[in-house]
Amino acid sequence: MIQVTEKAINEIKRILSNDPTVQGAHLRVMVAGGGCSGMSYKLGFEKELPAPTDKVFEKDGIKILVDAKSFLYLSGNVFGIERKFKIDFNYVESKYYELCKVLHPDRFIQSGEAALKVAHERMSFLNLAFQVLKDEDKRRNYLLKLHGICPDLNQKDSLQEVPLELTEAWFELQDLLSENPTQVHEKTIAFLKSLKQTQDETQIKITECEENYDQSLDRALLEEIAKLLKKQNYLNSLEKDFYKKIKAS
Amino acid sequence: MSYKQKVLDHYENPRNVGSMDKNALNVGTGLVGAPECGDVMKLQVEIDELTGTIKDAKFKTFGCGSAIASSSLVTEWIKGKSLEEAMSIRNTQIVQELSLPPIKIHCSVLAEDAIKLAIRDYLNKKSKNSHLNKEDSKI
Repeated sequence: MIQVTEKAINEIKRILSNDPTVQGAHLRVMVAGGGCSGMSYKLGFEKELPAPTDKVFEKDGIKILVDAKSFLYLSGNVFGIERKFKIDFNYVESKYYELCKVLHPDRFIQSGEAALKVAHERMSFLNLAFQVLKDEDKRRNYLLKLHGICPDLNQKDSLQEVPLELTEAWFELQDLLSENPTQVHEKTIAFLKSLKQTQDETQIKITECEENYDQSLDRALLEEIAKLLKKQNYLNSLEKDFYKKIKAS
Repeated sequence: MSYKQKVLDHYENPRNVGSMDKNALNVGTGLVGAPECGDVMKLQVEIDELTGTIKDAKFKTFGCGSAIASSSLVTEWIKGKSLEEAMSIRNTQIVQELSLPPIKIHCSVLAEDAIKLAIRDYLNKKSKNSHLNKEDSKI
């Protein structure tokens, strides 16, 4: 899907009604090579019928045509999947190979330097998208970012996500370690156990929130997930610290 | 990059290290952990109940040099101050005093939060206690 705003539609209508030469034409939108960052948008009216490979969008009776390759960039959704936590990765993978066959830069060697450059950029864009979708953590972060939620770990309110009981146990354990390293074996095991348990519980909560989000698309759940991620991040750094300290003593 | 002189000084000769009885009524305890690195910091204040000022402060921190220096510094700062004055200390002041680099700013945040939690803990204890006293007098 691409989105066309109300304002854009009104402007298109205004041009179409003011200029008799383009009456009844469709709007073509494309991304082409050139421009200062390697790519540029091109807009134009045309009266011919859309090509079979074109994607056609209609809003308020206005047809907007996008060729298949430009659509890759414009949609921001290369694989045509829903923006949810759980995805059908087999589908994404087969789609990826399908797109690779069509878009691989080797196919554009004969097409001139500019086209080859675009092909390279398109391919790295496609690869990046695939890498993000493949990795569960990256995919989660991407989805949160799309909604303007970044699990920013330097935010001040991050303190609220620190589980207090564990912090206390961690403090006491280190206190013991520094004073009497030989007698803390039991405490160590107990701490590790409750740490693992809290990590597992947090992971379960994250998964629950993700499943609920996929059903309801409720933004509040994304915020909850970001909070839980912060907590999990803290727990993981505790775990790392724990093993470092144990090894040292 | 190496630590700044003031950080090193506090790290090598930390002021006011130690513990107080956390059950004492005029002692407030603040325990905070940093989500960034697993550092934990305990800061305790002993309140002079007559003047409402901080008589003594102690800390114990398990963490990096900057976290230790931040907590050591604030124990020096808050001694003799009123609760309001201590509450108004901002992490930016700590950053400035110790010339902490951006990556260590969270250590100063930790120290600021530890002061607040410690004072809040003391105030909580106090209000609970006066509540109990009232109930006692009812009987």
